[in-house]
Amino acid sequence: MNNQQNEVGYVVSSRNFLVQLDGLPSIKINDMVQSETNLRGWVNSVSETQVEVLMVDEGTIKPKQQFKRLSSRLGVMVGDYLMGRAVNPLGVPIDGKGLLSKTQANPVMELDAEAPGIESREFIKTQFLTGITLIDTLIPLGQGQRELVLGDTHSGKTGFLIDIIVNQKNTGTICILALVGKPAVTVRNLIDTLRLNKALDYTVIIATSSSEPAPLIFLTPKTAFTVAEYFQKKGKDVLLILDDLGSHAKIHREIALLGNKSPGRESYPGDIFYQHAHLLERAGNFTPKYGGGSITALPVIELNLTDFTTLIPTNLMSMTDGHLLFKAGLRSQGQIPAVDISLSVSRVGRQTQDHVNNLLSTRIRQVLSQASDLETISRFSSELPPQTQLILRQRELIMEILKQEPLTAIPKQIQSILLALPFTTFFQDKNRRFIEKYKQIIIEAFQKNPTLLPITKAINTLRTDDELIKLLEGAGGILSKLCPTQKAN
Amino acid sequence: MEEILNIILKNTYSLSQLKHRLRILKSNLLKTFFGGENQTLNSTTQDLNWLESLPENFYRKFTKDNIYQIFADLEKKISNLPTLAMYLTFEPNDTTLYQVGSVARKTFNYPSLILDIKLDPNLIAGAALVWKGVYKDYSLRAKVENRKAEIIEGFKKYLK
Repeated sequence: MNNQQNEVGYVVSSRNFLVQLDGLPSIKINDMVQSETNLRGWVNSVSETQVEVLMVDEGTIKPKQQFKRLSSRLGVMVGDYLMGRAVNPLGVPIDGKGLLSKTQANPVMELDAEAPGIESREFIKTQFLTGITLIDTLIPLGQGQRELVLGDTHSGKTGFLIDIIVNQKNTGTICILALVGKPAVTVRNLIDTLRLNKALDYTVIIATSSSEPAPLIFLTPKTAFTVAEYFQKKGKDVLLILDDLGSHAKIHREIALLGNKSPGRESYPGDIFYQHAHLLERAGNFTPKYGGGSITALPVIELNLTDFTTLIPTNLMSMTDGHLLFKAGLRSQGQIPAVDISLSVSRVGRQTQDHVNNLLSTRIRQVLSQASDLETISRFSSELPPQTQLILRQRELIMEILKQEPLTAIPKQIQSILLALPFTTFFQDKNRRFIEKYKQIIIEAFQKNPTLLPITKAINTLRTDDELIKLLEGAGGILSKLCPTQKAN
Repeated sequence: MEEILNIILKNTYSLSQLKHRLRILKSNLLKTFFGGENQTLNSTTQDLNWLESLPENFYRKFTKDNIYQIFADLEKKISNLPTLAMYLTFEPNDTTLYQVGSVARKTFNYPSLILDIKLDPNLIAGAALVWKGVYKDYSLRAKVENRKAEIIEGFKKYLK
């Protein structure tokens, strides 16, 4: 169509951001339209007589107003220039750093792309290292995995996600952070936190604030996936955080109810499962023919009073490869990250873990489970058998080791050492306070002490967790000098 | 119903003209049936002439009982009429409307075609049409835009 001929439609009715148009004979879903007053919208659905448009710009819509079809479809221009920038779902910068340095050569990618098929997928075999001991050892993630992060308010989800982004420094991983309908202040704070921790250089932020039009908020995860796919197709490993899909579902519900779609369970429309599954299917590990990179997706959902049995959390659980359950109660007890180990699962990550860590994590899980059984019995008995006392103490030590301060990363080898230490003779008579006091000294010693450094280096050559524990038995002497017990107790 | 609409459309060509004529017809009939204030006082001589030009049997179709229903049905019918939106730079008078309307009905082969006249001074001259959701610009603006480079070149000759 040239400037002398174009398809047009006229406003039949409008309700808030939803406009019904008459005309536009060959319009398709996800085509863009624009009014005479330059207000843009995208086609959400098409019926025999009318076209439903969702407006992405705010303004007054008048009856019989003319809308013309734009040559572009719903898409965003992507490129390396997005790195370190915060943009809205239509690619407009929102970080106050001025215009984007894009060129005509940059491709425009459609937002609602279909997820690549099974022929494009590769077995997930590389571990996605978060630098967080609890995750990397007990609930490991794989590159290309989809892991749901769910938890109630103030359970430390956002802090945990920021830690993961910061810990991707120097790994070559590109991080995409999608903030869906967050308060503008939160968006600003997150950008500042990432900048201060020098994590912005390899991060792209796609954000919408809660005051923006609902259709624009609805597009946030789609844009995030589109940007992630651009980097994945260039062979990069991408970490994509969608914070959060609960708000996204609510926005979709708002749009659907306004459009007279029949409400289903919890008033969500029938296609809510499709919307999220369609989105999350775009993550994965891809073969070189399809770019070769990976998209590791971490969708987030905020729970109401730790109830994860409602529609959206259960939907998301079923379409992801595991979940991490955060609890505000654990956080208030000082457990950071406040992940409930017994209720969290990773269905893909364990296949990516090395053999030693795999065995070690099984051993730890056994101790934790035994300890929780024994804990109940121990309440009825004043004198516990030594074996029971040992298990309970080991659990205490493990839980203390798993605590990790925000914005700290622990290398993989050190994580293994730390978790194997409670099984050594030296630690048999130690308690939680010992770990609390000397954890940092132990970490540094295994990274810098010339006597302990060979142990750290030798970890990759080991075959079983028993070999690791045996190797660490030799470190008892040095550790007792570095960590004098009397002072600790 | 079809018959009533066809009689009205016989010499009514634009959407605004149609709506205006329906309004004066309705108020005139209401006055006849129920009395009360004459709301057609603001009608022009042209309107009154049009009312008089309507045949006797046309008025016989309306009764006290069906008048509201007929006008409600007519409203629905109007929204489904084949409409040709026409962007012009001026407001056409009745003669122009008649000329353009009758040509359009013949060309498009729709005896009930109705013109939706819209004003757009930006067209400079000529007209732009919208038929079945497709906009075609036959205005001077489109011609100028089409030959923009050529025209600028022409102007440049006189600049020094």
